[in-house]
Amino acid sequence: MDLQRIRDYPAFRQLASERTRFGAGMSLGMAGVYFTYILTIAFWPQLLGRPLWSGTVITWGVLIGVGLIAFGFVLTAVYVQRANSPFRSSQPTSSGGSAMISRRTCGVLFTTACALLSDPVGPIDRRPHSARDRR
Amino acid sequence: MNVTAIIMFLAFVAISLGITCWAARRGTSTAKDFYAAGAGLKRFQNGHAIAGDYTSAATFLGVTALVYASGYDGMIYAIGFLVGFPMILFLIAEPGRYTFADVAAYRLSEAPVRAIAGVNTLVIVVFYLIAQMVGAGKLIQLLFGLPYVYAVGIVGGLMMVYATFGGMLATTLVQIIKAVLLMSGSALMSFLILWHFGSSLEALFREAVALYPKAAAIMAPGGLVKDPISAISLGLALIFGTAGLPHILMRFFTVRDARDARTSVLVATGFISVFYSLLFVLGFGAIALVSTNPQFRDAAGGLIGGVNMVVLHLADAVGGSLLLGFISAVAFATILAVVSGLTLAGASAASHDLYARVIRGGRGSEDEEVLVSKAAVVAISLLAMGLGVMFENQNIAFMVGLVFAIAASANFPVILLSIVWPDLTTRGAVSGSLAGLLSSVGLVALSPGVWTATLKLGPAPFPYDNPALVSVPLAFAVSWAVSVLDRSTSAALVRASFAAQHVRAQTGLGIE
Repeated sequence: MDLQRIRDYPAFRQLASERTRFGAGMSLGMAGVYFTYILTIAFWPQLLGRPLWSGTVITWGVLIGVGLIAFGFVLTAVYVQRANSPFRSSQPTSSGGSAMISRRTCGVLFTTACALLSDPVGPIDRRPHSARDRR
Repeated sequence: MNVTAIIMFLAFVAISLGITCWAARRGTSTAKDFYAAGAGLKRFQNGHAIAGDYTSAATFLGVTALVYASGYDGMIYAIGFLVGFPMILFLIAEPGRYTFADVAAYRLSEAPVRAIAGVNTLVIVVFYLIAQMVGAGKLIQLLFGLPYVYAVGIVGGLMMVYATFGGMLATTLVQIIKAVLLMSGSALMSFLILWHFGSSLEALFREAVALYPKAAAIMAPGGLVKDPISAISLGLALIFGTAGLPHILMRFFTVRDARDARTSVLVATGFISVFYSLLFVLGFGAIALVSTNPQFRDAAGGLIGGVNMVVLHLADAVGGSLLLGFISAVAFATILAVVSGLTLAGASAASHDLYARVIRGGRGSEDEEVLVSKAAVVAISLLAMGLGVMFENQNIAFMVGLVFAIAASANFPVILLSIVWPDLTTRGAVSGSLAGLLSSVGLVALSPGVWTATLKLGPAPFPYDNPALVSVPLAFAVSWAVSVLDRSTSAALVRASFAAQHVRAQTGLGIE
């Protein structure tokens, strides 16, 4: 398989950059919200000690804490939903100019196609290393 | 001695040992079966198993104990444990195989990276095991009235049996059962607590505030995390530590494809989110229902069995000895499953990373590898038992916080850099990782929690309990500086091969 050719394949480039940006964006979102919370604890803990409304003992800190846990779950759900849905490329493909490639995931099928395109011998060699070496 | 509780408890242990025997017969003969359960687990099962690994006894017993003792600050731990979880998925879960060594070693030279990764894994596993051993030992001591040392011995023995004969498949099955039971147990207890307070959270919190010595202070941060540096340091350790935990990373690769792995992470995150929110209810429930009840006090006025056992007293208070037995059994199974998962991760580091690839240079037979990993299980268990006795009175969630700091310093910077930074060289990775490991372990040893409270050596040389604020940036800085200064030919080769790694990481090509 020719990694260089895969790398130069426009749909791969687009997929890789979209995926990297998406993953980085999600992590920054999570870390940003979390560190805002941590810095609040570090410098203005009394802010989190305010009651939600007058007369209650439940504080903003409790609500925000539970909210953060929920936020982590929601981000994960968004990520999994996006990463497991078909990848759509707006780049023209080498196999005849249809504008859309629909792929099951950002992973396996796409690579099989790339390997077929670049390797005249056959699809990805799934034999163990030892078998490949004896070739 | 509480007969009902003990019967419940023994029944559960017998069932899980039965599962181990069954799994052992089904075969742990190949290395792949032993570590990764043949990579054939269903995603929902695997999701529960991940959740099982992550909802350890340290979180169940420790976080409730922290909330009980320090109020709101227990929640900071719970939130940090959770937030680290999506971070792995977003940043580093996609490329990789058994252990992080495979991730880092793909592009860098294999032997040195594997060696340091193996050492890191062993250190993290041993520290993490201490927390679990303390929890399990205290539990057995409380339930059976045995001396603490014997209790630790029993736990260590069972852990060896589990990990040596069962391998990953048995551990996984126990994790799945345990995850479901722990969740139902926590939900039941939360329900009983809220029912006691007329289904009103407000009433529960009001009662807790009324009874707690520092009153309304429990509803705000400050009980445990007293200064800004401690807060930031703890925050860093918790969010990035998860990504460096070898037994969690290992678990990501026990399903067939990336799609399944992601779905299992989602299942696990949902599960853990609910569980951690419930812990908060349990902690406050314990303040309201256990703190003033003389039944749970020993002669000196302290909590029987120490603060780590508060959730068991709570079970007794809301559900009698039947619930106590159930929760004890679940907590014990939790510990057993987590310690065997951890021990396996350590054994895999010793046999797969250190022995097979570094010492034998990939030429050892699979039989040898399995044998070495079984020997490693025994050695790790013995070490953990010894340290478990030494750290008897430490809060276990606090100790897990330290493990997270070590993982965040020694593993996380190098894993992250190896994935995103083309210029990382082998020397940079090894020296950065070593800097993170030595500084974090060293500062933990010099901290008040260990130097003063455990080793009793007087005032601590390092004033903060959590080292992450120093050690994580240090690991990044050393990796960066050494990589930039590295002018060797191998460094140039490594830089040039980033593109190939990038393609493989993005597509999954070449991952077994």
